[in-house]
Amino acid sequence: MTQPNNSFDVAIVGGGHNGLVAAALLSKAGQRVVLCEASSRLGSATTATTLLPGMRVPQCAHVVSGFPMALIRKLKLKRHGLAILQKNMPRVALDPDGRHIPLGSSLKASREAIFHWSSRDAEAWSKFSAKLDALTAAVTPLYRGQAPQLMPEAFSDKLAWIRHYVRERRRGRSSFQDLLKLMPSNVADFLDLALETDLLKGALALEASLGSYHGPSAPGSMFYWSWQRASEASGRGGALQVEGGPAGLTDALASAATSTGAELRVSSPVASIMVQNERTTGIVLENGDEIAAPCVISTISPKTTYLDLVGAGELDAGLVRDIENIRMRGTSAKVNLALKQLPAFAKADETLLAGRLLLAPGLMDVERASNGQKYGALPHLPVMEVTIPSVLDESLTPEGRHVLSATIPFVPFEVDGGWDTAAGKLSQQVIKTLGEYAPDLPDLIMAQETLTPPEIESRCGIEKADWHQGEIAFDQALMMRPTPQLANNNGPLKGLFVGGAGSHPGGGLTGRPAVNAADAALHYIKEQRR
Amino acid sequence: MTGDRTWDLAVQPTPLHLRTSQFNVANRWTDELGWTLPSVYSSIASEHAALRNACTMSDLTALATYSLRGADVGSYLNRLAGGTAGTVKVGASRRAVMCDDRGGLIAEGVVMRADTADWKLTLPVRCLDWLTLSARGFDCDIEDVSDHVCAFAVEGPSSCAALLAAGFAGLEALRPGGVRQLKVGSAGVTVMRRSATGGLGYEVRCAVSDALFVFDRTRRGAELFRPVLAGEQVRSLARLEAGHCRLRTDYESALIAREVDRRSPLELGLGHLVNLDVGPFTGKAALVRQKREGAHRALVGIELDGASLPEGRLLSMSTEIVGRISSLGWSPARKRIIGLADVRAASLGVNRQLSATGSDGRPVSARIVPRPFYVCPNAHRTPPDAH
Repeated sequence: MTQPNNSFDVAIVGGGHNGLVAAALLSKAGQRVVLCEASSRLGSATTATTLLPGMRVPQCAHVVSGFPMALIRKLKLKRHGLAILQKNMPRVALDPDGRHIPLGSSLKASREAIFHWSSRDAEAWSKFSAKLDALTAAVTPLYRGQAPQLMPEAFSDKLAWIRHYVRERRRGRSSFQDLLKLMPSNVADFLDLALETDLLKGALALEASLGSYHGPSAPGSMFYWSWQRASEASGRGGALQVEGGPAGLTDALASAATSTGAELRVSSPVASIMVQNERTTGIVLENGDEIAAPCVISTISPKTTYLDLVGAGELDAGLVRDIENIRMRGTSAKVNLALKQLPAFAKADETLLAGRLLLAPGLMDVERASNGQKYGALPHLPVMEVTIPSVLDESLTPEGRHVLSATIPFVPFEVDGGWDTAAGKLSQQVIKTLGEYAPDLPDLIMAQETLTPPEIESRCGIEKADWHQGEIAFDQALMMRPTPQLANNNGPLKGLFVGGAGSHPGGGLTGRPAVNAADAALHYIKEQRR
Repeated sequence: MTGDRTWDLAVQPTPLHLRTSQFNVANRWTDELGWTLPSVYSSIASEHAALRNACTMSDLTALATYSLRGADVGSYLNRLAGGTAGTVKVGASRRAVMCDDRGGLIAEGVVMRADTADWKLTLPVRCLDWLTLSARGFDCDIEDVSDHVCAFAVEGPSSCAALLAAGFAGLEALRPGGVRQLKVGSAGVTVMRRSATGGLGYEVRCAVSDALFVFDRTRRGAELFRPVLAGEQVRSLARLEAGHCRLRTDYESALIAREVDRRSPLELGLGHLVNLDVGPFTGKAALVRQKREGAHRALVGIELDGASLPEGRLLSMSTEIVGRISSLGWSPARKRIIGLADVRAASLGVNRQLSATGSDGRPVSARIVPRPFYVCPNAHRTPPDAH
């Protein structure tokens, strides 16, 4: 029997940042909201882990990339404890010998650094950046809000397509030509044609393929890169560093949600979503509790939502096939280190080390690292993105101590020989690589933690370790995400909305899928009450 | 079966091939789903006369037969086919339509249930892939048993009497659609009272190893009723007379159809086989939408004047082309040219005076008439009248 206190307007499945954004938005809009998270703490990908007493480090995600500033203002997150330490976190192409190239902070600084490598590239840099920005600008409007309709029927939906087209055409012939030429192509060719400095190309290729299954030579990788850049560009603040790591963001979101009355339940795994006459009526927890809610937002992967929680029997068979065919294959591992002091990277000051450090010697090294994972092998020479959040964030460590967080792409989910032996090998390789950049680093390690993809799945609740909950590629983006039938929260089951990374626009700590789902849910609730 | 096949042919002979070839005087063959079947044994006229006035036997092997097992077969079939297919009781059968997500008809088949756990689905098309895909989330194993089951039909007004004479005891009590398991000699057979030809008829199924024995025994036992072997052509004509739409003639399976050839059960006049008021089934949302918005096309029965088949297949109303004739034939039962036509919904009802182009180039007048073209009251009587 349904208890009176188990009746809500909206039930949210999954307590990651997307779930919390939806909870905060909907409770702010006056809905009675309950959120159920399977694990014992909120945050999923944003949680912090304590390596040693007093030394915390972001467990999975280490930057808040593309979270919209407007949403921070709307939910008054700063009042709920959100402290932004830096906006538009710059990237740095790290060089063992100290000829680092800062990227993104200022065009001039990058150009001057590139001069040490190649005057030709320094000259080409502005043009190259402009080209890249034009590509990003072309997809950014698509990134925001709902995706355009696949088969527009209403005039306003048709107009959306026309507007996108006209906007691009107005940039002129060569820009339009570039868009059509580059979008389906690959990062490696694009970089090779424009630049000659291998360090620069390597860093850009690494940036382009973080979170992707494919390496920089794969067709379509240009789209993935543009999409990732659009996620940062559309948030207005770029990549943010938040006090306490991304956990600081979810703490603020949770506080914002509870302040407006949302009920956040941890250790409440959801067993199923109840459906009657093609409408959702609530959720059932694994302990048997029924929560009645006419509207359910699921922020876990669309695959699990539809096939396991709803059940294939409630759906058309063709839709089941399409959902089963969603490609989910995360290939990122994490190595987190607690350090005695700031490691000595050659000629690197604290401003530089506060950025996102890209450790990739060259383009081909990134490509080579991406090869092995297709066949279940670890990369021989891992490339990685490293942050040292404690440079700016004093809340994480005691005075003088530091924590380092490394995201290693191209680590297979299932490795030859099993993870028991491979995990140690992976962390050894990572530390060895870090040692090439900062020779004293291996001696500074006080504690370390390696998260293999299966561990990311089990400990952070990220299915298949894919933080996009479904690869971002042309066939799984925009109005094809998660599948064409379910796009834009217009699925066959009324009252069920998918607001996780698996829906448009995809993963990353942007909160945008949840904003879209919350909008759709509010619209649905209003329609029901009418 | 693959191992002990004695024929190494691209088109497979049926388990009854020894008999069908023996009696095939005209030596005209056709193939269905990869099986060799007689097209005409002697002549269409004599076969049709026997079908409508006495008793015929024909090879039914050209149907894909699937055996379904598991705890959820009923709910699986409901979800698969129109929300109704799983409601079949033990000892009964029912027609079922499978749709895809967009409400396009994949095939019309028959679900029969001889025993509590013995569900069989027969379809005029192989679609194990779709059946397996639909089984996700259900406890239901699907096996293609087409190669292990032999099926033949005994049809015509005297078919009941003929089967009784052949030792199929108790068949007179079988209601239309009923299914019963019997012993013929030492062979177990399943008999279903159902015929696609519109008259009285039974389908007999047995194991392939018993095929010739059961067939011979039936034919000899019914000797008094002079069973005539009927080929595919006459069966096809009889099905047209019964008003049934046929796969690959009147509609194309939605799994392979081009966009313009997709048809929903509502458009084909099979709406009574789907129940839009019950739980979810594949294509329900699309069919509900179509019902609400109205179908654009409809398959209707037509009658044409004259005795020669028209040249063209297009149907026009005054100067406008309104549809296409999908099947056509001279009906000996109706003494007219009859057919099925796919026409625009807009042309229905207002003025049913249509025309087709005759063999001499002149217009032939055509009328929309209700289906079926041939009704046999005996088909619904239990016990059927003896002939």
